[in-house]
Amino acid sequence: MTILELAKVDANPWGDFHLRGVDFCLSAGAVTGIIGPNGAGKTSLLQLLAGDVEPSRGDCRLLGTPMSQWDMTERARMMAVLPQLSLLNFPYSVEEVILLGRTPHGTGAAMDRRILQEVMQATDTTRLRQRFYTQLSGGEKQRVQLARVFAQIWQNEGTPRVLLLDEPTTALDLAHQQLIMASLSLLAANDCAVVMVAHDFNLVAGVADQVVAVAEGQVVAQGTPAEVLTAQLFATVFGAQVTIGAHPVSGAPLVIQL
Amino acid sequence: MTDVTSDRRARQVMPVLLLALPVALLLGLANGAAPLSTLEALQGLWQFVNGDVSSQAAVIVGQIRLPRILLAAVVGAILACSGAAMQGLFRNPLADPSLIGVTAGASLGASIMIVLGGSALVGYVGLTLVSFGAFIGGLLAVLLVYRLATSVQGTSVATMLLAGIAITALAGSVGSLLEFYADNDMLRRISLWRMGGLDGADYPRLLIGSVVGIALLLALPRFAVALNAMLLGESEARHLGINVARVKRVLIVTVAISVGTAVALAGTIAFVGLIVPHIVRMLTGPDHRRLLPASALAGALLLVVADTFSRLVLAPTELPVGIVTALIGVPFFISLLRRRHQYGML
Repeated sequence: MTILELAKVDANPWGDFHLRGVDFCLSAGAVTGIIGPNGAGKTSLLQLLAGDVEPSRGDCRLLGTPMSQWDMTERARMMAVLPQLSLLNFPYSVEEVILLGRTPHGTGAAMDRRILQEVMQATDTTRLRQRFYTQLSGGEKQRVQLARVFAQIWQNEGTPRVLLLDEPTTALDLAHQQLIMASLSLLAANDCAVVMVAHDFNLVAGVADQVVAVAEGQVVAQGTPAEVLTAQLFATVFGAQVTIGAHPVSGAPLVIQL
Repeated sequence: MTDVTSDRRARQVMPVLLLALPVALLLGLANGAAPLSTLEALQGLWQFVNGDVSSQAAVIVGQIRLPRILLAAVVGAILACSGAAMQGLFRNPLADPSLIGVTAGASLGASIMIVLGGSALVGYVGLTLVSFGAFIGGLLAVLLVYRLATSVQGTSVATMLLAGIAITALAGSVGSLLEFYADNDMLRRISLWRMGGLDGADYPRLLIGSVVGIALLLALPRFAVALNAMLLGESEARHLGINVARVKRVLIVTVAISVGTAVALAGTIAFVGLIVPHIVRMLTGPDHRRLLPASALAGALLLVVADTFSRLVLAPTELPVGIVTALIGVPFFISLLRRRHQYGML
């Protein structure tokens, strides 16, 4: 089922064209990886999907309704966004930060508590719950922010949900990267559409059903990881020489730097 | 590494404040140039409430001290609660209502009235006109700051801070220019007004202050959840379903009107709007559902205590209350700052 759809979208949030002719859709239960060089427009694309940037041409539709016509609370109940940088500098406890993810719901304290427990397990933040957010390390903060966006769309199985993540694993150690990837797969298995901007191609190849490559504001390739992650794409889009192997266990494409 | 629960006293804060405020109000009623015992003060209050103003205590308590301490409480609550909201809105614990230009604008408005009115501006009418000038000046300054920071992309709080500093500086220099042409009597009145004081308190002023204060205290908690989310950042708050543009607009207008009124009624009382919310946040945490009401109570408490001190220290002469708020509050604040890691601040 198509949840979010971009049709021939141009967007120019700062005057000049930033995104041109973007055309793709997100389906329930699929993980989409967005890759591209620095400044290619990955974050702008994510903002477009999140409704932060209005298309100057074309259509961005959530469940068939244009993004701008959605009631903000209604939309927030089904779409959560993890930004690249988070600048929270007020001394919330970890638990308070995660519970902010329940802001749009109003489903009552008991439900919020239960979801809090579950998302803390999914992000390994349970033992941090009483700590001050301001005193956490970078990786711990990233896990807490992930727990917050998970909490926002954790429930409502069966209803369409979208999770947009901008470089969710940059500060995470290997074990926590695996934990988060497992949680993303679990969410996707429960019909959530997951979008992830990432620079770790092998991480993307391992988890994504669809990969979108962005360069200079345009989508230059999209398809399965095997279709998109080719040596030729890396040469033309990233200007980098790589060899594409196969993952010894999963068989997914494996990007090896020369 | 510090645990939150061991250091926050969220549950104790509200009961302690709710107990302390009536005690402070009572002490404020009893103490002053003519000292009364607590019992005499209560008797006087009882007689005044029942319309009997035959005794001296009833007159002192009912006509002089009661409107004054209640005005102090209202102004303190307005300033502290507005400060808490501004710090949340600007995501900056250093923000205070004066940052958006309201205090400087009000000061300039008052100075203009004092200088233009000259010696004609005496007594009750003079005081009212100066207050009116302050209110209009404060509102105009905020309006200007708001317009400067608003573009098609919305209102930038960072630009608002800078515009607020610019307008404050501009109002300050125009004020200085006025002082340059003012005579000695005007200079003294301008400088006394700036130090802040509650000596003009009476029931009409208390009524105005109370109406605005109660409206503010009813309105602000409705934004507590939005402010909680906005601490994460504006786009994060939008993604949580908060209509950020509307929250900003309504909060700024509400705070401008309330603080403009407070400044018009009691002059510029520095420090309450900045440091009271800060102190309260250290004790309750940043959740605005607790922070806003607790700040209002703590601001009221601080200003009532400070006003009582200001009447006692040099009795029968009164110190401007703005001096006393800083003298009482700063040592407490500094002691908290020294233990800031315990409160989760960096």
